[in-house]
Amino acid sequence: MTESVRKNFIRCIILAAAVIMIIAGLTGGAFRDVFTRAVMICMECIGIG
Amino acid sequence: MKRKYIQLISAVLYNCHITGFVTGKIYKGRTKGICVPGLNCYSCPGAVGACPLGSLQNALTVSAYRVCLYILGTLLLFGILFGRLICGFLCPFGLIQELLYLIPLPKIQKSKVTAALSCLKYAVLLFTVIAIPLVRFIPAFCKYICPAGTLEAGLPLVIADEVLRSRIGWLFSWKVFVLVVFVLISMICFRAFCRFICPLGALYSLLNPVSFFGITVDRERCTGCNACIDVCKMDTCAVGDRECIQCGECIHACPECAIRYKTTRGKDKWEKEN
Repeated sequence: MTESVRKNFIRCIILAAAVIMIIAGLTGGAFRDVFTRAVMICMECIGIG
Repeated sequence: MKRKYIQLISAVLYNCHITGFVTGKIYKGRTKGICVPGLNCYSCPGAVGACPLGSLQNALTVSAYRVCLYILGTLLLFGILFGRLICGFLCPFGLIQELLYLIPLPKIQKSKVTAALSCLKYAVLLFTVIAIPLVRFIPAFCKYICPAGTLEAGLPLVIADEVLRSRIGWLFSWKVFVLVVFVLISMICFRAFCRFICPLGALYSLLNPVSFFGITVDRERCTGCNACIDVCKMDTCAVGDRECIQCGECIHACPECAIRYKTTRGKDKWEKEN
């Protein structure tokens, strides 16, 4: 297996894993959870809480 | 298009809720559920997307593993597509540091010490973004380190909101101190935060050598003169390695024209010539 073929194989595996993880997260309501957190001021981030 | 323009456009796109800076209220639209690729605090009054690091830490503190899957998947996707091209082109805090570095002051050049310090960001990623949020339920990176949060969110909100201003204490003072330290270091050391501390850069760096887009070298043309490494201000050992932010400065420095972006037409040109 040449270097470029090996790299392409790794890329495709990681890409597929990323897509599967995103879909799995979204079906579990992750978008809503991230949204709910992101629309509130993060007290830790701003150095208050 | 010049890299600085792309950096500026991305910074504006991440923070295009301009009225938030005046009112001191953060954006509450649907896009806040989507993570942006660069380091950009979601409590910034202008931010229209979520910070991947902040979201990940908060998900870990409440053990919301499906949220972790979504965020890690998003980070993997960004990383495998672009690697640290994101650091070089799409990170607002990287742009701020590069602008600070333009201030004419004596500069610290890269060395074995800076190369060793560049490993620190992996420890920051492991402990403050993953371990402490999991074990102590504290988003440690956001709370104690992140200077982007202080600059983009802390200062604007505290200035605009009297209630928040009345609540500042030692933690806010600490975070302002950290910010001031990074601002000063950035004036004399190129992208110090990105090179030594940034956990997002650490994560993308792991995928940098295999990312779809980025910089590549024509090994047949390369004479090994190291002009690319000499001109690079990051702690790179080779073009496109973990520390390379794919800024493209080496493309112009290469006397053999052996370096190019993977998606440009240079490949066709090489193929015709060979």
